[in-house]
Amino acid sequence: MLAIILATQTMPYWKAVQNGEKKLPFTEQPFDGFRFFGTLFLTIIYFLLMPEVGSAFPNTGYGFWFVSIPYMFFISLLYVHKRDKKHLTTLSLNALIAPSIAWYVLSQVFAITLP
Amino acid sequence: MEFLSSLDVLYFLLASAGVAIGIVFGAIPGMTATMAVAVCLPLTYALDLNHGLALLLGLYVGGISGGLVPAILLNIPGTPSSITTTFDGYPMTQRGEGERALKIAIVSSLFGGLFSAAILFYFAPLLADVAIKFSYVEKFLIIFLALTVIASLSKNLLMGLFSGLLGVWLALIGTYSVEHGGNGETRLMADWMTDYLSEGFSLLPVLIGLFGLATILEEAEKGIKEDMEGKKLSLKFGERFSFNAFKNQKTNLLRSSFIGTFIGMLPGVGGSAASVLAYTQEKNFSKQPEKMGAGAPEGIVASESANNGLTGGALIPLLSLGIPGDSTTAVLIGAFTLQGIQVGPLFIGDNLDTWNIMMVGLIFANLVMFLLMFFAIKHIAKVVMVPKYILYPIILMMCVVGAYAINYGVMFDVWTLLIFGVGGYIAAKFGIEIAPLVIGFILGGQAEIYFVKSLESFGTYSIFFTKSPIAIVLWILIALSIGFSIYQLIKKKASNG
Repeated sequence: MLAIILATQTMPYWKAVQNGEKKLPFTEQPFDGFRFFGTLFLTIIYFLLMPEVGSAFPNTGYGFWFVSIPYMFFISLLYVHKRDKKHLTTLSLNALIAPSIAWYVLSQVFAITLP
Repeated sequence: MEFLSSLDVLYFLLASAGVAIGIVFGAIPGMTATMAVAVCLPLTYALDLNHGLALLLGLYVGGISGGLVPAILLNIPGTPSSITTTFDGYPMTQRGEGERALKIAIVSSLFGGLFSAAILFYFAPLLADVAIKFSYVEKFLIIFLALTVIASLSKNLLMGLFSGLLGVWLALIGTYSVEHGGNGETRLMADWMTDYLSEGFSLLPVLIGLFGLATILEEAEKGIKEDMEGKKLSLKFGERFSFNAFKNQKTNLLRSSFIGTFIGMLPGVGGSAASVLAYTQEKNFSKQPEKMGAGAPEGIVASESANNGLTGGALIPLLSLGIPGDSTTAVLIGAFTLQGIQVGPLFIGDNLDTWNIMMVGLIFANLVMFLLMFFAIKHIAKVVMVPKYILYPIILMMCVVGAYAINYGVMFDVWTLLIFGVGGYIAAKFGIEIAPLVIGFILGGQAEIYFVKSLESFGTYSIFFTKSPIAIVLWILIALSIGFSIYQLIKKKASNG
């Protein structure tokens, strides 16, 4: 099936790209590399740090809570377009409040396992 | 009527909360009902089945309905299924009839939702009664049919089939259990992966990755544009809403709700196909088709009753055959599995109370959706203005919680979320269709078991063609679904010259 797809879909597509009729998959629209790779980078760091911090406070969910706050802050900072005082205050408060509520509701009220 | 004792205050509160959260998700462009269900799944981990279902059904109904708000007020479909609502909804808003358009859409949504719930209530048990008589051969063929239908209704038949098979392949990674006819050894992976993948990929992290993280990566690629920036909500009071708007819309309501329900039953087709088909039919039958697209209430009626008709329709194959009708019900299958319930032909008979509770939940969710949106639409409309830099980080955080908590704290599930989030994003760029992939992933394991057990029982491949008249009918349907797709392709090529 892969061979049929290559023959009937990929080859004509590649020819159209070479003729300038079509664009490659990742070049069809403006690509915001900063936000895309920034999301990936921050998320990987988040995933790596969470269990590390969590292992210092076993069975408390603090790993999730403590690491989520800076993660939310930096990712909001990455996504926001206007970095003025109002926006920074809003995103800082969100980064502080949202993980705290999530930690309390999930870990304390619902007793769900968190890192 | 024993099930009534399970309906406590918390049940109705959770269903209402689900609807409210679902509406918020649906109302924000780029976020869908599937995402709402996937992101809120961790909340159900601590609930029992009935309460968990109440929340999830509320999210489903609210998520599908919320899309009408930005579609009408801002000309931006909140969900793919509300695309046709923009055609007439936004012109009405421009005429100063925003509130009227919203209320017409809300009433139509309620009708579509209740209509499909009624069809679900009467039709699913009938279908389950038929399916209960199926042997392994017919069960395998039903899954094969589901995969061919979903592939044939994809943008590209070949890519649809390939995506479905890729999903099946991913489902087979892990230990080939002796119980299921295997040799007890791991397969489709390198030796060093055994520690992580001996049980294969967990369903929910895969779904959360594909529908949560992949969507945010797509938005990140576009620069997280704030669609609402500089836009103003217009809820002017021009012509006021009156139920007289539905005076000549009975046929339209019934036809569109039926179309939505029927399309919902087809695996993986999605709400946009339902609303587009219902809208086109209304235009074809309309005495004044030229008014459609210029602010005609009948266009909104067709679109919204069809996409809410989808909710009950998509639950029919899920609850009677174990095959999800759309991506949201695919996530629901994960929630059922989490509670130790196997959906399929035996589900309704073995879990009559749960079935009745689900029906109450579905009807209640539709009524709450109506009351919330009808009487508080001015406030709900404001949620479309919530900035994405606030919402997306919360969603990312909830995705992580959902993936981590599913198996009581396995970090590999969080990495699965990342693998499938990034993988889903890249796959979509190369034309892989996510819906067939997900259905293939969900049904792949079962398909293999039925296939192997059929061969063990009968010892010949020819049994798949000769087992029973039902098997022959299923083969005819498989051939028809592929033939339909090829016919559509030829027709499209001919019209393009």
